[in-house]
Amino acid sequence: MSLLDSWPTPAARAKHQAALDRLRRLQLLLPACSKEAPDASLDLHPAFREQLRWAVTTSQGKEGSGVPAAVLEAAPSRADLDQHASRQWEALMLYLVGSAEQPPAASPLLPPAVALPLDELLSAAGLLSLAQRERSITEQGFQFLLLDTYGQLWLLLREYIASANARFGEPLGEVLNFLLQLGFREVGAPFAASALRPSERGIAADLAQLGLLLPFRATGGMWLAPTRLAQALASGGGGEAVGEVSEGFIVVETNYRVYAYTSSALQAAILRLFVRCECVLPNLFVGVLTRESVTGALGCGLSADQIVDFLRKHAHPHIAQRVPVVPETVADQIRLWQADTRRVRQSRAYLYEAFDSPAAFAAAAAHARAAGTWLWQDDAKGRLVAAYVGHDAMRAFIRANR
Amino acid sequence: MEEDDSSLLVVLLETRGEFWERLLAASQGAGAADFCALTPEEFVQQVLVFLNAFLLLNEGNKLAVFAAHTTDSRLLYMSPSLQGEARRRKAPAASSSAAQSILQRLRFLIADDEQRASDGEAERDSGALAGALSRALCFIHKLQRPGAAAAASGAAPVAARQTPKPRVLVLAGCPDVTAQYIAVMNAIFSALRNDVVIDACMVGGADSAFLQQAAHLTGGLYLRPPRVGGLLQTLLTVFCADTYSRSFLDLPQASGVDFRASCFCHKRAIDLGYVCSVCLSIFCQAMPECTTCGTPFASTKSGKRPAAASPLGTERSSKQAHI
Repeated sequence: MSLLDSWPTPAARAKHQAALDRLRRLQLLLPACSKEAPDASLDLHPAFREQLRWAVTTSQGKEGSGVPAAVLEAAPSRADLDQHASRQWEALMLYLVGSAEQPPAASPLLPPAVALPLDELLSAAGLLSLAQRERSITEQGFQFLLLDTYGQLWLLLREYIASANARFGEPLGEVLNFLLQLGFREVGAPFAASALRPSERGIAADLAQLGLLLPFRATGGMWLAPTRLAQALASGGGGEAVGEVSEGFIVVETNYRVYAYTSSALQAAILRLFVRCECVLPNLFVGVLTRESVTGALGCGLSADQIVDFLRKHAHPHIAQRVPVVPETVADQIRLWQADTRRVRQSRAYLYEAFDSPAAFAAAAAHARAAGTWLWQDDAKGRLVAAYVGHDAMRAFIRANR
Repeated sequence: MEEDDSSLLVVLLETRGEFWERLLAASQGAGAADFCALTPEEFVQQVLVFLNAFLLLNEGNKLAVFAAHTTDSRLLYMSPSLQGEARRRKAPAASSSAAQSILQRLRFLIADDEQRASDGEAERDSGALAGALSRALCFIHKLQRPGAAAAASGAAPVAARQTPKPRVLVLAGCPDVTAQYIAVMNAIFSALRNDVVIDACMVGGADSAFLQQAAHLTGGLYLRPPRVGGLLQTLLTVFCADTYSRSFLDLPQASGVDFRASCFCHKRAIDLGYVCSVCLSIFCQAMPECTTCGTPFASTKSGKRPAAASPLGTERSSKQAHI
């Protein structure tokens, strides 16, 4: 232990202990019990140690050695993979927003045995409400649209994992195992679909529909190539896998004008949530942030911070250097509009009028004041407003005083 | 997520013939048991394990390896994500691992040398530390420049995204080539300007004044493990940690730094010398006029000997000596 304690500087000891604790909780560090080193007090988890040693010392590539050259020749290029990933994912988003009637198409090369129940998946995730057989996006759904792809992916996959258990009758561990293995594959490194077990094939078909895998045909049957969405599975939210998916395209000016250099219907649809559209050119969306458009979005459950964050995250590279990226006046105004919506708060109250006598009115008013439910009174007309919560007691008091 | 910043590590591997000979000679002299020596094979193996470990440490970690060879420096490996899209397309998805690629290119390098030696084109073996260092810095600079990275990768402009924190690790074993003083110092100062940390790990008996100064000035670490056989241990425990984590670790410190400069006239390392008061060039002997800027010195007898008055043994003067 003493050796281990000597690693950090005295000032960083707490940090070091926290790190060790975390490793212990993950069961990676175990109390030592080996006979070879009796004075050791800590041990690595044996399986972890073996795998780590293997990973560090082998000079072999992770996979890929078993893939024939002909398959590599036929493998889709990065651009194809990216296109597939964004097309499928975008189709899903558009379906969610309601601007597309059809969910993303399943791959004809790898048709799922059981169609992916997207509606149920989305409603289980709380993004879509299916009340009265009518699809409509929920408040959470709006917020979901503004998340980065990594957040969206996992939010959806969480529900998928839960449902996959029921659909394929696979233990949860197997499903997770497949997803994680997928996450650690290199983008575009193909693997054979024939090597998968039937249930894994089912999952693979679903993932191809969501844009995580791109199936292609080559010698030896069907092959699957992971896209960068698949890599995002295990990248921990960082890494370029996710970053590249959402490139910046938005320019916000101090006059509340928003220029979005995009041809994507989805991005335009998202922007329409809080921007009043002025004109749409083939590669440009021009709009204005107005009080109505923003309060409308706030009414849908978005928050001002989410809007500003979205504009900042997707800023066009030309203005990404600017500090702050979203002009201060605009960001502040959006926050003020949000504050405005909260300025007036509604709460139920009761109006009492036509009292028998001014004395009864005064007594009732005094009683309300004493109870802390008094809100307003008009002595000339003998009218009194008190909070709804005190109504029962108030009524009883007025009756008793009659 | 500042704590989990990924790093960009550029490793400069000394691969001159002299280095391998030194390792070989040392390992034949010493017994294998006491971890005092390292055969060239073991050296390469240990370095490869270290590189693998570094890549495993953080998903965003990027690696580039350059060989500082006899007369030039060669690229041995770079992470696929650092390569341009065009090149990535040429060598499709299933790229080989870092270790395989490095080993393969090292073999090329050595075969190339043998070929040349047998052809009788023995070149003057001067070592290419300065060149390799400059190349590494250029490499880093290119990645750091926002527009260039986008142009190189052909992908989305990455201006908004932070690039991984760069550092250079030099693995060398030969004594300094004093003739390269100016080039090395210039590289150090440009590293300083670009916030690039230079680490150095000396393998073998010799210390390197250049690398000591490089590490000292850029805030890096300079180590010469007493037991070279345990090089891997040193690499893993000291050089794996990114620059942010280092502030929390009680890492071994270099005992002292050799601040000697090389004179501009004969490229000798000197303790005392003459410094031109105009351009700060350093000479080991009195000159009638400065060979760099042409300033005539009044008279060698009564003239200034500023450097002699204050020996060039301080950090200040070694910096000044160079601007």
